[in-house]
Amino acid sequence: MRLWLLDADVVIKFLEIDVFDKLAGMHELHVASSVIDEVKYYRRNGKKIPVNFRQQYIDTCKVIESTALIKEIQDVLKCLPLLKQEAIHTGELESLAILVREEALTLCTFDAAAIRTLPFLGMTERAISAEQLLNLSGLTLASGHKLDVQLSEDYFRSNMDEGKKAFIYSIGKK
Amino acid sequence: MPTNDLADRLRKARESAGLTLGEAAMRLGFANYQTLSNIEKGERDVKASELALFARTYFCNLNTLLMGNDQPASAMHLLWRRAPTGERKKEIEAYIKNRFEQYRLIERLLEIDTDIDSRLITVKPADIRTNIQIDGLASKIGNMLNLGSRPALSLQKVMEQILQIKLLFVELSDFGSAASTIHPELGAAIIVNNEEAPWRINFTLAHELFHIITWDTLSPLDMENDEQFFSEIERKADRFASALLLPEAEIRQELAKRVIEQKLPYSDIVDVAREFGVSTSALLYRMANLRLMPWEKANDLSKNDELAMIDHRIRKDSPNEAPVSERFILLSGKCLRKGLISHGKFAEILGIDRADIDELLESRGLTDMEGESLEIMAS
Repeated sequence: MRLWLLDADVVIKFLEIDVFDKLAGMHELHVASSVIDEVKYYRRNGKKIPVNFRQQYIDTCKVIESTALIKEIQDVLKCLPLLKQEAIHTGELESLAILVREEALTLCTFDAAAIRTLPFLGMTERAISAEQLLNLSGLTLASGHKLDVQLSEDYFRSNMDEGKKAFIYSIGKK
Repeated sequence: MPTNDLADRLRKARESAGLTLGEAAMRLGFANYQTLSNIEKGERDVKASELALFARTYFCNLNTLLMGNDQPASAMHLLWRRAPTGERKKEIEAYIKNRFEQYRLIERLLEIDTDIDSRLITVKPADIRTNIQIDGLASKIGNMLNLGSRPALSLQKVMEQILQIKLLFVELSDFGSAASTIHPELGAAIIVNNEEAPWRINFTLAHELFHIITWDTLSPLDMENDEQFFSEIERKADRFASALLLPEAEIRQELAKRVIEQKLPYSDIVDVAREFGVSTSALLYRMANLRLMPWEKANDLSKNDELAMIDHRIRKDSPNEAPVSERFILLSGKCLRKGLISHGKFAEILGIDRADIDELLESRGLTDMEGESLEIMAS
C-alpha cells in the first residue's frame, strides 16, 4: 500500500468534492502538523463548512499527523533559490521536509509553486496530481461534474516541467 | 547550532515588534511567558507548526526567522502625519515594514523594478516657496499624470500603476494617521488608515504624494525634529492636495453652473465635493483659496451643523467597503497564476483563509490559470 502525504489545498478540495472520507478509508493518509492548522473550513454549494481537522481526523486516527524538525525545513530551504524560499508557506514547506525524510510517502499537491520546487529537491518521482490519486483510488466525480483544471494530471505535469527547467537554469547560474 | 540561532532571531523579532515577553506569549497562545522565555533561551524546541504563528505575531518573514536572511539592509524611515507613540509605534511600524516587504517580494518575483526617481520630476525648495508655485506644481503633476478634470477618480490607480507607489491600507484606528516613505530597496510607499472615508483617502493620497515628490528635497528627519518646519510643510502638502484634486478651472466651471444670483445651496456644495471625490470641507477651503469666499466663512461652514447633516444624507449611500490596493491584489494574483508563489503564501499576504482563495479570485475577476499563449508578430 502506498502512503500519501496531502497538502492543505488538496485536503480542502477533497473535502469540498466529498471524497476525503472515502480516501481516508482506503489509504494511509498523512498530513503535516502545519497543514492541520491551515484546514479550518471548506466550501460546498456556496456554504462555508467549518472543520476541526484535528478532532475529526487526527484524534480518531483516520489521518496520521507528521511533523518536520526545524532543521529539516532549513535543509529544504537551502536547496531552493532565495526567491523561491520566500514564496513558499509553512504548510507546504513542512510537507516538503517530511517528503524528503519519509521515503515511503508520495506527495499529492496541485500547488504550482510547490510542484515546481520538487526538481530542486530531487523529488520529481515522489509526487502525483490529485487526478491521478483519485483515479488510482477508483474515485470518479458524479456525471455533470468536472474536475478543476488545477487538479488535472496535465496541470501537474506542465508545472513539473517548469520546475525542471528552472532547476536546470539555476545550475547554469551557479 | 541552528536552533540557538533561531532562538536568537525569535527574540530579536519580538523586540523589533515592540512586544514584551508576556504580551508576545499571550498573543502566541502560550499558557505563560516561561514557555516563550525557554524558546528564546534555546531550551525548548520550536515546532514547525508554531513558526507561522511566530512570523504572523512578530510581523516578519518566515524565511528571515529560519534562515536569517534579514532583508532589506537599510532601515525604513516613515514620515508620519501624526505618529503613533511608544511601543505601539514599534509594533505598527513592524507590521507596515512586513507588508511593505511582502509587496516588494511580489514585485521581485515578477521582476518589476522600483525606481521612483525616474518616474517623477525633481522639485527644488525654491520651486515650492509660495502658494502660487505649489498650485503650479499640482497643475504640472496633474497634467503629467493625465489626471483629467476629476483627478480623484483616477489618482489611486495612477499612483499605483504609473508611479508604482505601494499603497498600504492599514487599520490605524486612533494610533496614527497617514505616512509615507521612500526606501532604497523597497521603493515608495504610502500608508493610509483604512477606516477613512473614500473622499478623505483621496485627499490623503494627494497630500502624501507631495511628500513623495519632495522626499529628497525636504528632509523628513529635519521635519520631525522641527515642529514649526513640519507644520509649514504639512500646510504646503495640503495646498498641493487641494490644488491637485480640485483644479481651478474645473471648480470654477462647476460652481458657476450652480450659482443663482450669487447664491449656492448647501446641497450643491456637497454635490460638487462628491463629484470631485473630496470632503465638503476640502472644497470649502479650496473655494477660499480661490477667493470665492473668505477664509473665516469657509472655517465657519466646515463646522456648520446644517451643512454637515446634508453632507451626511447625500453621502450615506457611498460605498463603505474597506479600501484595498488593486495593484497589490492584481500582482499577487499574477504570481499565483504563474506558479511563483504557493497558495499558502498567497493567502498569507492577502490576509485570507486558504479556503477563500477561489472566492477572492472570482470576486476580483482574476484567474489562477495562465491559458494558451498568443503568438505576437514581430513589427
